[in-house]
Amino acid sequence: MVLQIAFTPLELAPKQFTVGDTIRVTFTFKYAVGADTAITIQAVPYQYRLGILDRIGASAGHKEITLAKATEPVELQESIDFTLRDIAAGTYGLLVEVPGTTYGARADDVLIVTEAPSLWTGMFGMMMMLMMLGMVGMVVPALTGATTEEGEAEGGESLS
Amino acid sequence: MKLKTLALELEVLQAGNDPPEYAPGWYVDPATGQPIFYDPNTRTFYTMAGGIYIPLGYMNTAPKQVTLGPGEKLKITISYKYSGPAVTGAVERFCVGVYGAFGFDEKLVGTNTKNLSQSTSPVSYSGEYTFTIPTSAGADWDDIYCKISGGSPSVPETLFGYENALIIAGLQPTISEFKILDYVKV
Repeated sequence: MVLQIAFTPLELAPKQFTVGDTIRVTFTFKYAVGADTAITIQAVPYQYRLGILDRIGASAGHKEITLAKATEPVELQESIDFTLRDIAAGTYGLLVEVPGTTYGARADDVLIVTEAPSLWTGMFGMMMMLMMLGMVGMVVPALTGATTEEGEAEGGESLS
Repeated sequence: MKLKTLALELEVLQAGNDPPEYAPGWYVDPATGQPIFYDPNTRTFYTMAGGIYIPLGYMNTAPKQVTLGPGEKLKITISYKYSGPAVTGAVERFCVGVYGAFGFDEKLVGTNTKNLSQSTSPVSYSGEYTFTIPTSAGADWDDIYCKISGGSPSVPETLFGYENALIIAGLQPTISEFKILDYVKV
């Protein structure tokens, strides 16, 4: 018997994530096996490059699942976590598969990945704030001093 | 262990030059419901595939599927009719295997020997064989066929089989209906 797994068209809505986010993907499949068997499932973002499905391996998540013996097909639902690492900003597909086989499911263009704020971006913001505080610190005493001197001068005059 | 059965009905066996049992024309295969044509000259039923008449009596579409795992037992039963001289040692051959472009690759074979009585009219016979599915069974061992041949005097060889009659749950899992349900940030 030839076993063919047809990738099922999916209606998953695209969602936005940031580099460093951990994503939990939930999936389901039916299986039959003659004895208890452990298999590894992989969840991984992908992009097409020159028409070839290119998995972003650094962001892949793996999980070992034990399939209990079942001579009649049974349904199983599982989930895998994977973290977006070493991945550039962009739009990616999501692939869940049994590596080394044709078993799996995928959804194109559902992961919209944005870059996390960088260290420099944070430091620049902090430096800007410090500079603004410094300027305020310089300007406020000057203004306050001028007002006081003016007040004292006016007061002096009024007293006299 | 579960015992699952699959029954096959073979053609009429006739030895010598006895006249054909059926008139030429179209019949309905009781096993599959398909129209079949009987040719009295060759004493063979034919089915049409791709515009070509091919002899019925070899591989046909299975009327049902039986799911089996390693250690489970499959009993195949056959029935046929014979008329002609008495035959000693006719061989009933039962096979499970892979049917493809190069014929039938027999993976499991079982045989019975049977003596057939002399008769001028078709007499019904039946046979059965029980296989135990081994752990090495492949998921593609899904075809079966049975054959009657040999003996003294030799009976005309008669074949009959079913494609995709079995679903073998082997040590390698078979997975289907794989779907992504949802994905969320955690």
